[in-house]
Amino acid sequence: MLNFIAKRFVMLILTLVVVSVLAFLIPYVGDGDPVRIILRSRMADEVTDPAMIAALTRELGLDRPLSEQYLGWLWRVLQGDFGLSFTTRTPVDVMFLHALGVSLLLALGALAVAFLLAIPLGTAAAVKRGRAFDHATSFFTQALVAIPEYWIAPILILVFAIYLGVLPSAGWHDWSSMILPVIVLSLRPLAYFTQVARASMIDVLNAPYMMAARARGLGVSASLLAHGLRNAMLPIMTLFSLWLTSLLGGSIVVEAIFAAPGMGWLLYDAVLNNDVPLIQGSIVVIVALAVIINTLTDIVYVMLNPAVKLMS
Amino acid sequence: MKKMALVSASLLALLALPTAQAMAEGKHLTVVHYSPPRAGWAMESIDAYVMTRFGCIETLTKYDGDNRLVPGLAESWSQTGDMTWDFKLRQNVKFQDGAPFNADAVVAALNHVLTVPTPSRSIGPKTVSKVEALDPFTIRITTPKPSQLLPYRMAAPSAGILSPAAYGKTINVFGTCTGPFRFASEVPKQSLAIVRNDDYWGDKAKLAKVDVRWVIDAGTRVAQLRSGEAELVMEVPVALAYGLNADKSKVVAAVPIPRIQTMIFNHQRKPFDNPLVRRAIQSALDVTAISEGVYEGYAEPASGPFAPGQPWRPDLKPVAQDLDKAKALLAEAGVDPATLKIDMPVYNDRPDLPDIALVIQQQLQALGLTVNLRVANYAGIEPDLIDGKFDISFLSRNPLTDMADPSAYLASDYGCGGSQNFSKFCDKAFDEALAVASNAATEQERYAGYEKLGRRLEEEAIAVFVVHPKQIDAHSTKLKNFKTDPLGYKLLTTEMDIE
Repeated sequence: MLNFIAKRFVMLILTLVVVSVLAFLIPYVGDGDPVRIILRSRMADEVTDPAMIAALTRELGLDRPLSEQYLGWLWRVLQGDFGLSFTTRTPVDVMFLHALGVSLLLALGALAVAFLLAIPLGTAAAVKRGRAFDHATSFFTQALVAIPEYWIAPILILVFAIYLGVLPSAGWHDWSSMILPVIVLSLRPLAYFTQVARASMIDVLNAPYMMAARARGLGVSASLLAHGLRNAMLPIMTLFSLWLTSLLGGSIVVEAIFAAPGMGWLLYDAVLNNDVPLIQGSIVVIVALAVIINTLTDIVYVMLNPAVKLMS
Repeated sequence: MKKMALVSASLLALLALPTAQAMAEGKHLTVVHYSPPRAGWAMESIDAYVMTRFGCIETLTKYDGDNRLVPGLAESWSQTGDMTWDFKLRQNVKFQDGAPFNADAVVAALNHVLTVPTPSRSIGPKTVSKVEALDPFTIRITTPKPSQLLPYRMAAPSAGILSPAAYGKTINVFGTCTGPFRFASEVPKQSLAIVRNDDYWGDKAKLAKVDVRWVIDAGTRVAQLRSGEAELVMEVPVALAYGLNADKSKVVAAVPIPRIQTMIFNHQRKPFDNPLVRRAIQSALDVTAISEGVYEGYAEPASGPFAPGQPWRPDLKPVAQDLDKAKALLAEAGVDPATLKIDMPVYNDRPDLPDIALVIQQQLQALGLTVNLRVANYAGIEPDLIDGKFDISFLSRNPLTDMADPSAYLASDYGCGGSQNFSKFCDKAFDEALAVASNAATEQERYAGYEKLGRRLEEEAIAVFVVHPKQIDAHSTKLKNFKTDPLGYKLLTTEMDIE
């Protein structure tokens, strides 16, 4: 097991080094002069004379060789200094940690809702396989996957904010601001979790140990609780970690519609304004979190199911 | 550890109930705006507009309802030499932090914005060379060359005056203004809490508290008005304005603004250097149809760069569509429409521009021209504009962004070497006429000079001026005395009230 963890740790470090290079270079890949874009964002759509562009280029250190800029940036990042935003001139880490907090709340809320609904739905569909409830669940989950967020979000606003007036339409003011975006974000994971829960429960129900449990006189529910759930949870856990890393990166559509200041919105704004330090810092943190979460998931997975380790 | 604490604090803050704030006494307005401060309140940036719009900072001069210059923090001003202007400051003003308002404070504030690495267009070393105090309530401003426009520059948001305590490593706008409203707190890119300045030197505001929410999605902004969460929303899309019109408890305020959607030609590419070809294209367009089709009437067909109501606007009617005339002009220029393939990049940062371009593409096809329309964001299009890799493109411009005078716009867009002169039109006579007009001693002479230049731009089709879109805002009928400022300098006023 220690050998496995050490290997995963080395892979994690190598991945982060590659990511740091890519994150550093990404802002320079697109069209347009970063300095002109920054000035446009600071001055509305009015631009700028060449002297101003030259002054800002010098001030931001963008006139130095790229390799020199990268090494300097990497050294500061290793010390926890992600620099100042080009547009707001405030520390980048404060900005993305604040946004990460919002995305974390939304992601955990959405996944908790999805998880808590998906397990009983998927289990019931598996137990009632081929019957009306199973077909209805299947239709329902396929519909959820197909519904676009930009369609369902305004409908929820219309119903709960405008007609019923029970929830705020947008903003990030108190716990009630979370409800609508969490519902929208939970729909797709709910669909996938339910489908996976159903499939793995069907496998579990047909497994010899379940038949043995039933033969010993345990009822369906008791045998599922005692033996089935843990095994059925493994694929859902993998899916959970994948969705968590995906949602931590933020959802531009949902965050824009509900004016939730998460990572999606922050990155979108940073890309539009070519806020290089913010783009670089956010990418490094998001990818690092994703890699760490996936590595931890792999380790926990192996701990729960040693057969995986043997196969690998 | 510090960072973990920061995340935890953020989470706790996000879950905190703001009931104490919401229970503030007095008349309370909620405004939903689309453009949050984004440059750390830097005075030289567009954040200065946020400070003026919401009644925080004030300037030495300002504009009245007719865009005429009137006293602001200065009670009078005069030109004391070819390149010097003296401003007499009001003596009954004090900053919101209690600091005295005097010549030293004004000199420090203006020197700050003059010495930043990226000065604003309205006030910078190119337009102001020295600011000094003559006595406790008089300052002298020296310009690098004679300028009649200096008092106008002092009305620009970037020339706003903050208390000396505001200028540190970053700008602190909370409690350091002189205006009728005080910025109390903000959640960056989320909201701004504003309260009345009860010690204001002028008429006190009727509103006690204003919450500004920044929402970029237009549908959500309108939803906040419809749900009653907000009483005023700024910038309503045309498609949503019609829905609000049907609601008796809401008012849709559509006001002409100076912005002009412009079709530019590459004057360095043949045949667009030929006025006959440009006029042919101008004659092939139906700008009224664009106004009614793309904007559903929320735009004025243009006849030159200047919007209705501006005193320097030439008395011209929009060019009527006339395909026979267009064909005749092309024939006179010796251009066979079948051989002319037009490369037309357009940016989509302003969503109406691709719609205009699409309609124009179809209108030019009726003339027999082939138009290759390319749509991308501005960052993608700008390199081609700078390098002259286009035949025709589009710009959305506001000739009065920094001051209620179009000289800076005319110089940047049509002057030789102008920073926005992507068409590369260059005529020394135009530049000389502009210099004469902008330095004329009287308003009448200046306006007459601008009028001639605007007329020339239209008549020679140096560019084709398409429409002036309207600013559409909407509010609850409970809100009283709201008036859209076409210049975008003012939003909250002392007269605004809520039932």
